[in-house]
Amino acid sequence: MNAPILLLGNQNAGKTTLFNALTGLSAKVANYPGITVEARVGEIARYTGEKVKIIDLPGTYSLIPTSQEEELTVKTLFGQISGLREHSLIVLVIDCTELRRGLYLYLQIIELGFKAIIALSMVDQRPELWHGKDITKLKKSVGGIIVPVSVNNQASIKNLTSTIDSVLAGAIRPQIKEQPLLFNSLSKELIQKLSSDAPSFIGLPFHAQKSLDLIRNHNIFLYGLARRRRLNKDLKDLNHLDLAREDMAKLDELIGEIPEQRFKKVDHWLKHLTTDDDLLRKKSDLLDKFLLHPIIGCCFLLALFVFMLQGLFLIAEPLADLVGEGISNLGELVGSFLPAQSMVRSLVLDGIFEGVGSILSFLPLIILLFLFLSFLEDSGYLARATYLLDSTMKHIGLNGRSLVPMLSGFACAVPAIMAARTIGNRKERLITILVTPFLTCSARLPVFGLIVGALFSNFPPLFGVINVGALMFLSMYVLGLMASLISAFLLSKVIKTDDFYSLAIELPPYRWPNLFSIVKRVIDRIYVFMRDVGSVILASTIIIWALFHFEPNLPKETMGKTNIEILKTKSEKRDLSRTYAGKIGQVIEPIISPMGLDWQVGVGILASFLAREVFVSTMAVVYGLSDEKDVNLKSSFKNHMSPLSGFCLLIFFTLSMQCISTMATTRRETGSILWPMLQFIMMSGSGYILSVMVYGIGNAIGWS
Amino acid sequence: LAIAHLKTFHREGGYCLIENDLQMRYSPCLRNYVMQELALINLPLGTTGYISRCLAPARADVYRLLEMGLCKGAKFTILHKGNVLGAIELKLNGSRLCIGKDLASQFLAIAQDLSFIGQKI
Repeated sequence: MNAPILLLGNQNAGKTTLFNALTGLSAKVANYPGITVEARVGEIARYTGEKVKIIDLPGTYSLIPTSQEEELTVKTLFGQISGLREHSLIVLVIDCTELRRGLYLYLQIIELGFKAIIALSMVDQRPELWHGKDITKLKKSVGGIIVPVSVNNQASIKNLTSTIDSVLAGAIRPQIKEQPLLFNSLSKELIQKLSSDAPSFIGLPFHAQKSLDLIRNHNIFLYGLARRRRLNKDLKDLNHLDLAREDMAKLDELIGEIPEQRFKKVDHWLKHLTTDDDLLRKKSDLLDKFLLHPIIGCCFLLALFVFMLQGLFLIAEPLADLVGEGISNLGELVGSFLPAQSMVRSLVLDGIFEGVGSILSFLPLIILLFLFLSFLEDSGYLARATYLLDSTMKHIGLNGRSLVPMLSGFACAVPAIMAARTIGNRKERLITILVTPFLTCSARLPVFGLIVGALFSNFPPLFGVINVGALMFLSMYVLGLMASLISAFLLSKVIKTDDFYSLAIELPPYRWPNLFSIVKRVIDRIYVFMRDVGSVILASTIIIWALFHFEPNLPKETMGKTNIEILKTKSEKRDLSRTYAGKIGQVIEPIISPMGLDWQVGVGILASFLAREVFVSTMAVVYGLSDEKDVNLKSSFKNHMSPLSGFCLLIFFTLSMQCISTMATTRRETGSILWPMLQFIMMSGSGYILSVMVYGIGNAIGWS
Repeated sequence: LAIAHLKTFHREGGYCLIENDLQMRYSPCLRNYVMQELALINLPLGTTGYISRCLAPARADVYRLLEMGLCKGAKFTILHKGNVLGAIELKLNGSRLCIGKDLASQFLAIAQDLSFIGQKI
């Protein structure tokens, strides 16, 4: 079987749409070791019936990566990914309205000796590059294999497939090598030095070491890469080369000239083409006059995000409830087939179904959010939103792309953290992931509702007008937002990376998104969520079930009964203080007592790590009530807690990290367990410290 | 005064050139210098010109812009100037490029029309 084909291209070049057209529904999301970014893998059939893998790699403008996604592309190209050491062909997708930039990437690829063909996408927008004279001229000047493609035209897709097949069969041969553009002015001694330890130069072996020229070119290219990215660790490896200062300066100077020389070459290729690029942008430019206007543009953006959040709340929440109800009913149905009062039944109902329910309840939110974001991205508006917001977000150490995940955080942190993938800069993506859970998500609302309803609803209006309960709600939203912004600012000062970031994005022309492509992308996101996050949530749910179910010396007569059953019978009121969860609650009581809370609330807090809203139902169990919606819960709460303790609990719930799903998503997105741990310590630590301080001050001034 | 400012110009990569109109109006030497090259960020909205030099090609983000076509000789037009931190949108060879203030200050350009010099930008 042939080694896989790589699908490469600039961002927004129509790569994924073409990939979907080539592979249909066979594509899957693939993860590779040590990389958190996914690539999509599909298969295309050759005439012989043999199937060849095709990999859709993240878009890049250059082979010098500046983001995680681009790094995956470059590493795959250089055979650095385990399981993907070789590739048989590169299909470079070039947007026909951005030929210059696409051909620049093509030049880079063929300079390094890779076998590549060009798929000229979106040719329906430039017919002269499809059937006109321009395509002939372009083929002649570039000298490589160029196939015009439109995803709306099946014949062009078949033409591309057959060209790929012919190249793989060796019937036609793409241009293999472009002469290196520079380095002739370097001294022989310097070239000798750079070529001396060729294969392992700064740790990246070159898989196509066909000639000394290539190795030399590649080495100098990599040297430039290390210099440009200031990868000090890699540069240490250069010390033994003992390069003179002037040699280094000369290399730097030469490397700075590479793009200029390459673009000269590309311009030479393009000089005979007739199309005026500006004509294609007329409508986009007209729209941009309004949408990029500092005031009108910001108002439109704000309205759009308000619409998005409203949509999430109005549509996704009822759907999530419906899913939860469905799972609950299904659980009861399954439970009826299981032996009553058995541990298996309890595990299935309270553990597995509870876990699956909480996983599935995220799906409507994730689907809607990603549908919306994919639509914005494919239409070209997301790049504009980034431009509009970048300068404002810069003040707190983030960039324009951080706003979308942060706004989504008001609905749910899980899809919001997943949405942070659009942020290219690693540091800013990390900060966005770490601070987003501070924002008041919908799961906090039932808890706020319980505490505020129980403890603050009967307060007389402030100044005779302001409702204290509403004020509490609002202040918690503000507190979460402030905590998020302050943490982002502080983290931007603390976290040091080799990445540089300053806004540098291309604004693609506005386009109608391809619906099939959007739906495929959303399905991929759901698949990744279910696979990576869902498993952690399910495991955590079962662990928490065990903590609440088992006790060190469990009486035989209650073993196997679910909490619900115990509550329903009432005669067998279960003492939660005897379970492991209860014991843990008692152990942590000295820790939470400075906030004015007792072990019973401690048990609730422990359960809320599953999901914050679980706190309400747990408190109903802890206080021995039959219905969590019962007004008795509020009165029990009122009897057990002072307004000051309630206020401290509100602060704790606003700031602390109590969501295993969020932590699992953070671990998945950052590729490390350390970041969710830091997130947990940062959030819960700040929540705890602030609550204790407020309780201390409140007591001191006599507010209880 | 002009020599002092030219020194600052070299040290800070052209940033301080048009800090105030006084320097422009009363320093012929500096004015001549300015007429040749100005940082991209200092050019007013609507300016068309050519990139003449990149001050820090070794920086990864600057290099990326070179690779996106903002290299010596590239013709551009400033289409939008953002607020506060001044990100700008450029028309560059048929495409539209948005770049932040600090990046824009790393590119020197020669404007086709210099009538804006001496006016508040």
